[in-house]
This record gives sequence, C-alpha cells and structure tokens, in this order.
Amino acid sequence: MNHEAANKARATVMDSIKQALRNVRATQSAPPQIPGRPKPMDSVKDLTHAFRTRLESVGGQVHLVPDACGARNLLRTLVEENDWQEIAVTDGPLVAQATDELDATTFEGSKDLDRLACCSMGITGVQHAIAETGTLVLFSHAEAHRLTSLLPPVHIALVDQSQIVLDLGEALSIAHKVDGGEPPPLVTFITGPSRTADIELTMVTGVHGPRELIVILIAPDSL
Amino acid sequence: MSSPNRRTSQHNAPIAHLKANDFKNASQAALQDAPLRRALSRATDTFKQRRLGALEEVDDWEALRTHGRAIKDETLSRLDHHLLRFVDQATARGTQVHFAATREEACTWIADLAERLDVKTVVKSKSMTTEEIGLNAALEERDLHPVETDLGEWIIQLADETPSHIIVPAIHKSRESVAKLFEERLGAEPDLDAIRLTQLAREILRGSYLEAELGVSGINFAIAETGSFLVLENEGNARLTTSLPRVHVAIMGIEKLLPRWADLETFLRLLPRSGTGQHLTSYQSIFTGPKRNPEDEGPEEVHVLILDNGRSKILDDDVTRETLACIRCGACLNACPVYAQVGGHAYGSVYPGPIGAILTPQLAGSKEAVPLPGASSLCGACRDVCPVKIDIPRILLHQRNEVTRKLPMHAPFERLAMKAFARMACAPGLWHRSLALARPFLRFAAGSSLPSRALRCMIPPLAAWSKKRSLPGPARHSFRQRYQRKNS
Amino acid sequence: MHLSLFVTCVIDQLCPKVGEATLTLLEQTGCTVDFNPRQTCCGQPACNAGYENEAQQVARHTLDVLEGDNPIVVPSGSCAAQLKHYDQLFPADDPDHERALALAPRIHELSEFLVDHLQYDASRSGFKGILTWHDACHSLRELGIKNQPRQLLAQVPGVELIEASECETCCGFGGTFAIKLPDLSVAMTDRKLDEIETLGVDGIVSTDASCLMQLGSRLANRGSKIRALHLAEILTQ
Repeated sequence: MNHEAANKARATVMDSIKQALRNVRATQSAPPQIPGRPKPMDSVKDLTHAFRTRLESVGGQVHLVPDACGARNLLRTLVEENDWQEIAVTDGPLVAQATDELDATTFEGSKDLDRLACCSMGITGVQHAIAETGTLVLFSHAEAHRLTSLLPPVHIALVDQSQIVLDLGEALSIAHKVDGGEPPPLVTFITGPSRTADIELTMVTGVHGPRELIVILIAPDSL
Repeated sequence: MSSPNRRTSQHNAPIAHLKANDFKNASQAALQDAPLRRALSRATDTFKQRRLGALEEVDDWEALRTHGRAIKDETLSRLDHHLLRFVDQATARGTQVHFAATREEACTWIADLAERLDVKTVVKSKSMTTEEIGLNAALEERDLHPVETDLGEWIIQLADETPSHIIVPAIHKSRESVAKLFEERLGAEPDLDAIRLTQLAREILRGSYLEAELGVSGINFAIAETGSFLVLENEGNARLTTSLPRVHVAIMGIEKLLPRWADLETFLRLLPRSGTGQHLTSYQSIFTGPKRNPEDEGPEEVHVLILDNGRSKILDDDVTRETLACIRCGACLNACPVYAQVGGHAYGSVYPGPIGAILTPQLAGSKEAVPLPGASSLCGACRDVCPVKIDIPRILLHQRNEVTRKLPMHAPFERLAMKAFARMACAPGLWHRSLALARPFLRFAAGSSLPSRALRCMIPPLAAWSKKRSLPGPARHSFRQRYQRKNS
Repeated sequence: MHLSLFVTCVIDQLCPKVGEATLTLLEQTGCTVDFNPRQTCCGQPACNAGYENEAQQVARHTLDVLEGDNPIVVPSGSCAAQLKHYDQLFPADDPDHERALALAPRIHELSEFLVDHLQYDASRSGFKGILTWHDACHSLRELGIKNQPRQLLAQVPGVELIEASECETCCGFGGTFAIKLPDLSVAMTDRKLDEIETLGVDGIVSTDASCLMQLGSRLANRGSKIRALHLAEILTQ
C-alpha cells in the first residue's frame, strides 16, 4: 500500500468512527480508584514468602539464599548437578557476581544468537518481582535479557529481596516512567515456565520458552 | 464433525471462512460426534472450575468487573480521541501506525510489507483478528509462507482447519488425532504422547523463528497514553515472534484500546482469570516501540495495524455497542450450554459461542448469520461470567428482532403463528375457546396409539418436540375452567 | 393481604393442579387471592423469538388485565421475569413503558413471595422423597432466586434435598429454541439428566413450568422413574 492509500485508510476509519460517535454522549471518566485488588494474603507483610508461594504454585522453583555468596554456591551446585556446559549470561549486576566461579563456559546471550539457541541454560537478573502474582519483571533498557530469558531450556533468574513489590499496580506504575520518564521498549512479566495445554488440556512445560524457571532469591531477612 | 476447510474462504464476506448460515446442519453433525462432545465437555468443565477457583482469590470480583466495564465504556464513548492519542504517542516512540478499513486492505497491507522486506517466512503468534481477516490464505496467495506458532494454532494450520475456541483453538482435537496428524504431515513416530508432540513442535518451530524476518502478533490491549500495547500468552511463542524477526507487525481492532497505562492493572486481573482461570498467564509483553540504543535485542521496526472491518458500524448502534467491550477471554464459550454441546465449528465463524453469536452478525451482516442469534436458549450464563458484563442475551434478543424485521421472508410459518398467537392472546374469549377446542386434539396427539403418533408426525412443531420427548397432553379442563366452576 | 394470581398459560392448559396448589398455598397463609379470567399469556414466546410487535401487543393486554396495586404472584420464574421486564419492550416515551415500570415491583415468583413476604412455614407438608432442585435460568439470573426454594424444601420433614452440580445449567428448553433445534435442546437436557440419574432422587423440583415440561417430557421418554415436580405440588401434599 502506498503512502496515499495509507492516508486514505486512516481517513476512512477515523471518519466512520467520528460519524458513529456523533450521538454518543461521552461517559464520565472511569473511577480513579482501582477496586478488586486481591484478598490480603496471610503473608502480605512478608513479600518474599508471598512471591515464593505464588511462583511455586505455577511450577516455578524458588531457592532462598542469604547473600551473593550463597547465590554463587547454589549456582555452582546446580551447574554441576545438571551438567550444564554452555551457559548464557546477561550484563545484569547480580549475574556477574554469581557466575564468576562457574565450572562451565559462559557467554553473553544477546551477542551470539546461534550459541544462545543451543546452550543449556540462561542466567539473568530481573528489575523487579511481584509478590501478588509471583512474577518477574524485566525492563529491556536495563539489561539484555530479552532472549537469554527465553531461548534456553532453563532460565535461572537472580532476584534480590529488595526488588519485590507488592502487586501488579505497583509494578506497572514503576514501569510506566522507568526509562527516562517513559516505559522501556519492552516490559516483560514472567510467571512460571513456558506452558501449553493445547493438546487435550494436558499441561506441558517448555513448549517454546524455558521448560524450567528457577529463581535464586537473595533474602537475608527471610533466613 | 465436518472439518471446515480453509480453502473454501469466501472472499467477499467481512469474516474469513464464514459459514454461519449452516448452523443447524453443522450443530446436528457435531451432536453425532461423540469424541468431540467428550472433549468439549471435559474442556469446558475444566475451564469453568479453574475460573471459579481463580475468582476466589480476588477481593471484590464484581467491583473489578464494574471498573473494567467503566473503562471500556469510557474508551468507546471517545474512541476517536483515544485512537488519535495512541497514534501520536506510538509514533513519537518510533512505532509506525497504519489503518485498514476492511479485511482485504489489512491483508494487502501486510502482504505488501512482506514483499517490500523481501521475506518469505512470516511467523505468527495467536491472533483472532488475523483469523478474522484470513491472513494466512491471503499471504499464501502471494507465495508467502505464514507459520502459526501457538501450538494449538499450528495444529489447526497443519490440519487445514479453523480454530474452534478463542483461547484453545484445537479444543476439538484429541491427542490421538494430533499424533496421527503429526505422523502424516511431519513423518513423526506414530502415537506420540502430548509431551513428545509438544517437543516436536518446539524443535520444528525454532527453525521458523530463526528464519523469519517478519513476526505478526495480535494485541490484547493498547494504551493511548503511551502508544504501548500488550500481548498475553503462556507458551512464549509471542515473545519469540516479537523478538527474533527484524520486523514486528501487531494487528488490532479499533476497540482494543485503553486510555491509560494504569488501566492495565484491572484488565490483567480480569482477563487471565476469566480465560484460563490463571491468576496471570506465564508471559505478558508490553511493547513501546522498536529497540532503542544501546539495545542489541528486539525488532528494528514495529508496526501497528488498526482494523475497522465493520467495528465502527457497531459503535454506531446504541443497543449493541457494548459488544465492542469484549476482551476475547472465551469465558462465555466455556459457560455456554450450547457451545458445550456443539463446539466452535458449528457456529461457522472464527468467533464462536455466545460472543460469536452476537459479533458475527454485526461484523458480517445479519443475512450472513441468520441462525446465530437463535443459537441460544437465552439462559444468561454468558452474561454472568463476562468480565466486562456484556449483556449478551439482550443483544441476542435484539438481533432476533432484527432478523424478523429485516428478513420478511424468513420463517413464514413462524411469522404467521406468532401473529395468530398475539391476536388470540389479546382476545381472552377467543384464546380460551380456541384452546378448549385444541385440547382434545392435543390430548389425542399425545397418546401412544399408532394414529396418535402418525398425527404428531404430520405437524412439524409436534414432530420436532416429540422425536425425543414425550408430548405432554393438556388437562381435560383448564385451570380457568376449574376455577370458574369452583367459584360460581 | 390481597393478592392476584397470574397462573401462566402452561399451567392453565397443561397442569391446572399446579395452579390450584399455588392458590391453596397462598390462601393457607390467610391471603385472599383473585384470578382475573381475562389473562392469557405473558407473551414470552413472541418476545424470545424476535417478534417485538407481537410481544408488545400481548404485553399491553396483560398490563390491562393486571391493573391495580396489589402484589401479583406467578408460579413460574420465566413468566415472572417476562412480566417484570415489560418496560424493555417499550420505548421510554411510550405510556406503556411507565405502566410496565409500575407493574414490575408487584410481580413475585412463588417461592420468593412465600419466603420473603409471607414467611411461609413449609413444615406441614407431608411430602416424602429425595429431591433435587433445578435453578431455572430466569428465576436464578433475572430474579436472583436461589435460597428461597431451598429454604422451603429444607423445612419439609420428609424431604431430603440433594444438590446437583449442574443445578444452574439450562434445561435446554429456551422457548421456540426447543422446537427449532430439537436435538440440541434435548442434548442439553440429557446433560442435566445424566447427572441427576446418578443422584438417586425421586424428583426434580422447580418453579418454572416450562423447564418442568422439558425435563418431564425427556424423563418420560428416557423411561426414567424420576418425576419433574412443581414446588407447589410438594408443599401442598
């Protein structure tokens, strides 16, 4: 479609919308207060516990460690146990700390797509996590984790307790202005592994994205 | 079950593959299909249960619905304003926004773009709007190779069928039939289980993502305030479709808009709970423009294509406008006792179930979908579960009125019968005398003797009733007669 | 209290005993009940089939018949819902719209009226049997009736009430739907009955005459021993 045709389509659609709205009285603005927040969870004061319970309920694995050193040790154990050879990493600050003594090859996932497509695991940080839903919040401007959190069969996310926010509303309101007063090009919410139930409602994980989501949660206050 | 063939798409209808006027035959065929009905009943029951479980977690579901609906009403009442704001904001952030008035325009625009980019393979994530416009067929006609990546959609594409549910497109297919399909079309080992079938899909589709230079997705919600848009999913195929190819095209109907970024909160609580009974689907991606420096990942170009295709006409109708508040969760399909019996294909439209029954005639014209408003017992279960409180039974009724008004030749006997009924019901003497005369006749017709049965067969409504139901014979004397006798 | 009875055409013609039982129940509580013999049908068949003009005509007649200011009791949920929503048939500037709005608060479905307005005590019923309740769509969704009939049945000493998980699922009747798509209609009925047959009940109870006709006819055709019963029949035994 050339430029002229494109303009014509826009004019046609906008005209018919304006025409249709001639007689419609604008309804008042939606009520500002958002109702229907989730019931207060028993552990609402303990965001870490709530986050963990929620994520585990949808098949995410959550490991609590006391500090960065604990995260590094746990990661090393996991890598050994699973015999992961090729590991994609991101430029996230927690990631560098946690992977500096790994007994495996690491590479930056965002720089080498071919390698990323066949590696054994991807490690990323996150920007926030949501207690209400057990969700990881990723901002594309802050860390190059778009594909590293997606292509490998296993995604390990490093989360610090201080990154956990209460609910969707809080996470959304942070995302709204986070990139110099703007939303970043991509905000990703991740709540559990990739899953499908398209064949007879049989739940299968790892259909297109990671079949396992492992969160290493640095939580000095909870241990 | 007749599998609706994609090749038989009617090019002129506003909805691709439309066969809604065939509801009676198609539903009859579905009722004979025992495996289909088993699959449907299991699936709809499961989703109903999960939805109820997910609602329990929410403090005040009713208030949340009311709020969601208020946002939608606000959007629709100033849709022109919000759309223009979306265009401005999206453009300012590097997204290219385009419009299409019809499905042909939309298909042509996407095919032209693919040719301009010199791509052959187009990966697609699940989008009802692309089903509506028949994008795959249109791309194939231009020698392009569209690949559905949602597992259910991919199965449907391999089988050359149409989806039968908004959320679970292959709900009508058994594991055995999918295994057979994979064996025939992909040379897979016979009788694979769901896990192996899914793994196979992963391996094959990975190649398509890496090869494709154009990714097409739908849009669940677009935000006027920031020019952003959101896609929800569980599989990760939409994330791959919108991350790997160099160009991302997202298509939406004009009604998918929300005014403010903050409005997402309400709809993220409403949609997954209503659709799959999850508190949140595995992934939500909120896109605001192409990758920015210094990002290495993500598409270089992002396009949003805004489709009218009859929607502005719906906006023009006071009674049916609320149809455009629909967020395509599929809850009404799962709740509907008709859908549970016959499944999506019987409706002959990419939009099946209660929402399809009201949306299809509005998009395609009531002549193209005459039986759909009647494909309901008006039980109201759909209205109960709708996250934005669309009064579907009220609209069905309105559309039934429209059919009788606009199609004067439709159902001539029924029309006569209704006229006679109204005439008699307004004249009590005539009403009661006529019924007193009819009662012995009907009592005879309700009998079990051969002449009784023969008589029933000759009168179509009695025949229709008594094929699988006994005919209740009227009482010898009516309540009115007995009352008057007692009180005289 | 002085009441009017709208008996409905189905009860008038097919099961007058249900109408008489309703009358008995209401009179037992000391109410006086009148029955205007000029009443015919609420017009729902025309309304649901999309014949707006015909539905309006019948509604006007019924508005005339039901003139007054006393409560009107209807032993059938869908007819009560139809009468209560007559205003939707007339544009707001039509005088009958006003009359319809005045009629609406006077309309009461039987179980609702017995419980909420007469505090009826059902313990004198001598009915014995195991029953399950069918929530007729319009009683449940248009009139919001859910607990009242259950409360009444719970008071009857000889009744054991077993809930079906599908108690809120449509029986498949739907007016002309039952004739236009008969196999689909019956398939919907069977979905309910398949469950109910496993409950070991003697009867399915409701206050919707049309649902009872659909359920009863299919039960008879299936050769089932389960009966479709109107609440008034249970309470007057």
